[in-house]
Amino acid sequence: MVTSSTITLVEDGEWLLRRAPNTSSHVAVDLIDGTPKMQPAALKFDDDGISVYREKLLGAAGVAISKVAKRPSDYVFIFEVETVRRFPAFDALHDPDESDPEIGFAHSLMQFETMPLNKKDPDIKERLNQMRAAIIVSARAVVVPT
Amino acid sequence: MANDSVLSLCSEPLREVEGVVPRLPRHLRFGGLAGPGAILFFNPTAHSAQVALSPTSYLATDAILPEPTSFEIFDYLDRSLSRLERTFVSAPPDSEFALKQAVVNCFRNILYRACDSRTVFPQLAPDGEGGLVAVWHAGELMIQIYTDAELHSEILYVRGGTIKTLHVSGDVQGQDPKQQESIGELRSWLLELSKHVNKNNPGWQRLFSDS
Repeated sequence: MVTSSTITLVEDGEWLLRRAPNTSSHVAVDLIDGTPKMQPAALKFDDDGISVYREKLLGAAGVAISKVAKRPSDYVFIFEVETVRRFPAFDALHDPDESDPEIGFAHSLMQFETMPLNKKDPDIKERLNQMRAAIIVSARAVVVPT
Repeated sequence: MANDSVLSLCSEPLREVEGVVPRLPRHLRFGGLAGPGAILFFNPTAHSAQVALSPTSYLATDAILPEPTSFEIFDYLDRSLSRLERTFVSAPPDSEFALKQAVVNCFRNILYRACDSRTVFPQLAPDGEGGLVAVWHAGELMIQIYTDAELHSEILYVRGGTIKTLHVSGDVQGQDPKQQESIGELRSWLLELSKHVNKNNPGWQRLFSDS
């Protein structure tokens, strides 16, 4: 688990929201029921991690989760923080985005224990891909394009 | 194995050849051995082989191998990979989804080795970091094949809380036993997933009606 005296972790039991553009690079479909599923490109690990939003904070502030979709064509997927924490080197940290007055207060980052994550390291890459795969399987779309 | 049958057709020492030879049927483009007077193309996945007298003149004799199969999935893969090539290989190198041709070729070889007529269709896409991914979603079951920009491929199997990973380095044209073992494992996973999909959604092909 990522630890630091200045870091606020997302609480256990919380749900995280991730936005995905409506393209075949970011969203696929389930072969059994046709439901949308994230593609790995929808969970791209940037230099600071993977951006997500805390459903609990949005709900407490009365902000609809559809606000996570920046465009009408976006999907929003939801998954439990435990899916991330199942992989001990990864965690979800609260990271308010002050540049976004609408939902920035709920912004968080999924990060690796050592940042920036070294994608060239085969072991780290394997762990990242396994974590992403677990999220992709468990996540479900809660906002679909209108 | 198809390769033994192929080798028995040629009396001269053979060398491996690479690349796609124009004017050959699509399904014969994925393996090749060259002797002094002929180039012989085979597709182990499709259990077929043909002999071409030169790389550009297609005068062929079928080398009959058992287990004839449908090429439907290979048509789908061809269309999908061609679309990816057209869209992303020619993209500016610094763009998010730009791809190298070698990545597409490596990815194609793995797919052609792993899939057969029983395989349900994957969804193919760039991973946004110079690689390609093929994914099969079937409820709590998922299989992914990643090929990255360095031609390393990672194969992921997820079923509920179980995650298994296989690795394939470089191209799979050779006969490296470890690679063959990984491809064999992948084939068994795909067969399991395909049976699961056919049982629970026999009309799954409708999902690809516009592909």
